[in-house]
Amino acid sequence: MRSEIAGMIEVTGLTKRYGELTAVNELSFTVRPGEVLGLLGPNGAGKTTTLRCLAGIIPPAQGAIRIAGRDLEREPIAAKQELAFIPDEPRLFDHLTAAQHLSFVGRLYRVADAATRGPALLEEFGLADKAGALPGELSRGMKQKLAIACGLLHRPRVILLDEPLTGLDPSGIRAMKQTLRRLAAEGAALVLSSHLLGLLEEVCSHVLIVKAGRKVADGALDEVRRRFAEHPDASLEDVFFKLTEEAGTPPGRA
Amino acid sequence: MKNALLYLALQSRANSLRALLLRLRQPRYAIGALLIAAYVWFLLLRRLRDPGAAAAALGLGGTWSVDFAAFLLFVLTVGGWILGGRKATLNFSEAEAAWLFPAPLSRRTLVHFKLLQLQLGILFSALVLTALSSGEGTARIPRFGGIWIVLSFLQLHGVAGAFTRERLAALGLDPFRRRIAIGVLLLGLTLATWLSARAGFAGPSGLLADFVALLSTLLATPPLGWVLAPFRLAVAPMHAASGSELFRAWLPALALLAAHYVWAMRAIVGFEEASAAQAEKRAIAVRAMRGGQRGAFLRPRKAQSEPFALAPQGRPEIAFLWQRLIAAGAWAFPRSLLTAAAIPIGVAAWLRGSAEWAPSLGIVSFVAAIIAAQLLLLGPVLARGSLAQLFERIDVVKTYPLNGWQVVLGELLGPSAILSALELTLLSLAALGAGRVLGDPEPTLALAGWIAAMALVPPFAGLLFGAQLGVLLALPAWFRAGASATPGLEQMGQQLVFMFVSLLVFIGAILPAGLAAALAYFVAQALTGSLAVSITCAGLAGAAELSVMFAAMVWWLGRRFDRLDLALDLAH
Repeated sequence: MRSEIAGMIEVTGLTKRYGELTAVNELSFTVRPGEVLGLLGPNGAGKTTTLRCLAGIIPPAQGAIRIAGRDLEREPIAAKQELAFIPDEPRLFDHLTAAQHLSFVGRLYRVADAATRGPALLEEFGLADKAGALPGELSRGMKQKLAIACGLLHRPRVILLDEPLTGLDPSGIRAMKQTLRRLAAEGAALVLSSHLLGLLEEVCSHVLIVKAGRKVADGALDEVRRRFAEHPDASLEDVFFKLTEEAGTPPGRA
Repeated sequence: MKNALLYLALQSRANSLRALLLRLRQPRYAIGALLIAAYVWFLLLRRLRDPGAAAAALGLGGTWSVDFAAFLLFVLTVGGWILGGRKATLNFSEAEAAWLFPAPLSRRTLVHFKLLQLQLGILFSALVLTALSSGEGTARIPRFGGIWIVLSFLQLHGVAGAFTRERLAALGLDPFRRRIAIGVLLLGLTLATWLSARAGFAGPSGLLADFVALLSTLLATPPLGWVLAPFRLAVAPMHAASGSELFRAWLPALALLAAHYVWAMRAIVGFEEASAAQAEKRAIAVRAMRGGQRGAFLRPRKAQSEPFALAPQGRPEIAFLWQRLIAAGAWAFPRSLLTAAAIPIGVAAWLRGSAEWAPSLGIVSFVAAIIAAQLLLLGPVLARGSLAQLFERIDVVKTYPLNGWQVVLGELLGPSAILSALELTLLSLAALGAGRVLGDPEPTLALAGWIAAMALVPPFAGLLFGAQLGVLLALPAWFRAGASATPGLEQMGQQLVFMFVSLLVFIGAILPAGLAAALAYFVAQALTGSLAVSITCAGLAGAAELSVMFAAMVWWLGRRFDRLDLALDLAH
């Protein structure tokens, strides 16, 4: 039985350095169940580094990350059991079929009903007739869908997505948006990094805008828009450019 | 625009060197660099300083003659004409093709860029070959120049030949017809030369010296002697014995190169499309090799059956083993390996029973033992590419809810299992032959030996693969850089590091395991007096010691994997 946790993702003072470069600087935020957080920022702002830290791929230099109440540094296995990371480039095994990918991931995450859930996910993502196909036989979009299906197999409560719509066709994009909304409605916490501001505006409930590794704004989408917009009809794009093009913007919470 | 190409070539090299030097700030890379420096010193520079030693070591020097070298060059050149395809391609990388082909550059400029870029590799190769082959009679610098001329000749002839083949194909001489024509020409050349030389040939004597003399005669006899004339010009500078000879040799050789250059420039055809396709194919092949799937790019892959049914629940390491066996291909599945083992062992067993053929078992035994030893030492070094597959998916693997040691164990199980199966097959063959030659042991002793081998081989193979993974995890930036870079000193040095660590682990594993086995042997001998029991106990004790070492290695590598931050390594 899963317990209800106030902050599914709790990040405090996250800092990541590469030599003399500070890629992420004192970043703190919380994502609650059912929230979809859009991670925005210009190139090199530290979005992917933040996501990779949240996924446990790279260790932060400072700060703490809690996933579903588990400290990622002290309890990495338990924390990772609750999360899924969908990178922008689907990295699949060349020699495993679509169905075999799901079997493999099911075993890693100890998914008891993988045998039934795997085919259901393939069906959901329109890949049922590709179950026996190798990645080399799949289009870029199909590979992306397979990577997402694998990520969802173990019913993660925290889902991290880096540019999830790359390579998807219009119907795939629509299906993907529906899936994201459904996952949020089911109580998952999602972090979505993308440069497609329209998508973020459509899907996200909250946004976090970073620049040069620092937070320049975060909060509910409407709230951020209201606080930083120069006029009532301002879009997220207007807010984004206002915040990221202003020199020396002090970090602050909306 | 030409400045841009020069900038690209020089800046790429400079940045690559700078990244290499910056990485040396990390002690583990600095230690690796010291090993490389030792390698360069002992293999190359020392030999440059002492040419006689190099020649003696390699058996080169006086045995090289102009005729043989010219003939070798002729064979290489004709090989290009036989194997060359219909389309002319130049060796552009994927990025070069993507950026340079759409750029406002003339075809001639592109060819110049490629020729000059290839010259860097040629100069390096000439340096290495000079160091390895410095012989009597020629000074180092002229010899270097001579080797450079031969390599440049091959390069220019290759380019001009490729352009010309495409032009000939357009005129109707497609590759098949071209090969037939070359075959007919070669046959005619051989027959005509043989008929000319036959008169002076005394008949077969079986002596090597006579054979060499015959070959020398043939190479000097027309029409082959005439055909080899331009090739003699190319190799002559390498063999000049004096300053005046050198001067006389250099001028015609340089003229030959100039003629080839003019030929290449006049024969230029559209090479961009085929070169871009080749670059893409090569990039796929490199990615496949880096992923340990060397055969993947040679044939279209089909979905494999499974080595065994993967139950939804159970140890995750077994899932890695399952995945690894599928990746290796159906030949690595347990049933295939068992079949592959049963056939040679069955044949060897039949040979033992045959009075006529039984003596050949000694050779089978010897060959199997040699291959087993080489496979054990070199197999993990050569197969380390399959372990590097881990880096290709590290972002995904790191998100699995697993401890580092589980990932490491999972990665090592597959290759270790395959190597163990091959080793046990070869050892069985060796034992069958040895028994025939040295006298058959009692069945109980044979069984004891078999049990000991079964117990010892898997953990030993695991340790050797673990050593390779250890180097990859300790120096990931080197491996990633080396995989995409052109071959050079750094890659040669990396090879040395892998071999050195493998040897270190080999010795480090054998010594304590041998001690444990010896102790168990003497204790069992004292307690039971049975040789079979003592051998079994020795094998099991050695295997237990190896297993403990393997477990410690997996734990340590797991910790390293947990802490691995590839981005950090690459950033330095």
